[in-house]
Amino acid sequence: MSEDIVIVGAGPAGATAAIRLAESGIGCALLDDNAQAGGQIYRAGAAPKDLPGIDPRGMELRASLAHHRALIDFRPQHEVVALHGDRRLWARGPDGNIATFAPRHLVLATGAIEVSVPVSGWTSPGVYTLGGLQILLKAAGMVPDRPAVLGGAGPLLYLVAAQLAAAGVPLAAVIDAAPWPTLTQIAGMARRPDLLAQGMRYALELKRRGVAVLRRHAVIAIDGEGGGRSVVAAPLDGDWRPRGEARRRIAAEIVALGFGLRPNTELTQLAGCAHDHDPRRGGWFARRSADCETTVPGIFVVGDGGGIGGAERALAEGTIVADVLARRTGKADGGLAAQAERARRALAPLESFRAALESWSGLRPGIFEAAAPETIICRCEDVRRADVDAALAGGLALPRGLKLATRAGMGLCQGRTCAPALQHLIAREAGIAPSEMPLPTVRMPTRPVPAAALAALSPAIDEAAR
Amino acid sequence: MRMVHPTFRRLAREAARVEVFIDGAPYALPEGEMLAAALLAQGMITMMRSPKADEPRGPHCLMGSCFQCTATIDGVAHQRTCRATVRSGMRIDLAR
Repeated sequence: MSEDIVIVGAGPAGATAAIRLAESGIGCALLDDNAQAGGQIYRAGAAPKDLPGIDPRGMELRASLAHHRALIDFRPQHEVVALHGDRRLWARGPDGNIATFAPRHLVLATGAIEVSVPVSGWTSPGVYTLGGLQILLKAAGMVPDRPAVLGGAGPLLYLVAAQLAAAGVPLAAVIDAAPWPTLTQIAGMARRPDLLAQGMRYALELKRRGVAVLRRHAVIAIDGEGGGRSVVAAPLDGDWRPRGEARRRIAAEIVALGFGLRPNTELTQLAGCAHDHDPRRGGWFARRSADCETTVPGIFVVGDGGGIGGAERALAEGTIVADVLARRTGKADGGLAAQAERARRALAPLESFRAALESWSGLRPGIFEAAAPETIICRCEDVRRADVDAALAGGLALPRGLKLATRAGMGLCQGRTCAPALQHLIAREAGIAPSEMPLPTVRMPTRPVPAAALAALSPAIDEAAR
Repeated sequence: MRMVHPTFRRLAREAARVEVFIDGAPYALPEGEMLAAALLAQGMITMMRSPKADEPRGPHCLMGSCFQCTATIDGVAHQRTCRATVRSGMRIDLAR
């Protein structure tokens, strides 16, 4: 199927781009792996509207997409499983069949992945990512009915904690790796006073409900299961390395951990786009021009895939890329150009806000030392820290050699979950910075496809292998 | 079947329930709900076993990324229960 414009991802960035294009009379196909638009941040479903941080703009985006259905060919439950630099892409639909597209302009708005830090017991059922626990709330209106511990760092920790506390969930503790933000950091965040106030409201909600917040600590082990479960919290040094003394045990049946977000670069890697590394943007991200175009002409990235920037920047970039595409397709629109100009002016304060946020809560590498020798690093293949360390001691410094020796990152998830931990362990052993490491390889198909669908996909895989 | 006390509660009114079969036994789950959520609400937190250590595993990221919530759905193996929605007559086989 040939469409002039295809957008992958219907979160704030992708959905906004589609809507702005439609407002200028320009059509597109909009693909998303979920059943409804909104991405993770505006995920639709059953969350009570009166909880903190439930943003009405998600509903507005979905209503607007429906309003413009004559121009926006929305394809829910479509996962992109292969992509080439000439913009041909293969997506698996809800029936398991493969749909192919070859657009002139491709916008990738595939968002972010939560960063996990492996600790003993993190593979046990009942241990979630922060985002995972929040998805249960948003999509199914479900909250823990048992004492829970939330841990990690960054805004999502406080958002999820405030939401669960407001819903009456017994929170045994919130365990934050970061200290209180400094005055300089608060001043930086004040470049967007509305966002700073939002974060303070979450912290106040926890205080008001008497939730214990443990700062400069992290969960370093999860023991037992069910009602007998408890976590071990350790104080951290400045690099977030767990210290030996003053550890404490906290009972909790449900545990959720998350250490911030990293850009989802699967598709930009498949397309051969150049990437840059910046820990303050969540690690590797696609390099872009001011028009959000990657180094592969005709392929654009908006939102967190271009470096973690948050929902507000994603919304702004959706408008910016729509204006760029309107001009490229000869349908420039004065109204859209003015909107894009306003969106561009919003970027600088957001950049200052984000820099201060990252300076406060951005992941410090010492936290990966929380993994004990027997701790599983790769959940798919049961590869333990000791297996990784032994393979590295044998001189396998590259991810590929490590993968072949241990099978770490070679399971069904293709290393999506363990990549940050593996990259850190390799970089540390090799004595290099994470930015000097090669990006972890992405292979097609990016998700398992049924044998019947493989026939449709085989040209893509053959070409990639050549 | 071993009964486990549910560790989650619902804040919102759920959809009408339809009959599905879990490991061959009939259950009534809310139609259209994310399958992983519906199973968790039933107290089923373990969906599969890990390949080497044979440890229990269950939903973790709930966004299609981690593959720890997979089950055999209508005869197709390794399907993510967080990407599937509850349909009438669905057959779910968990490898617990």
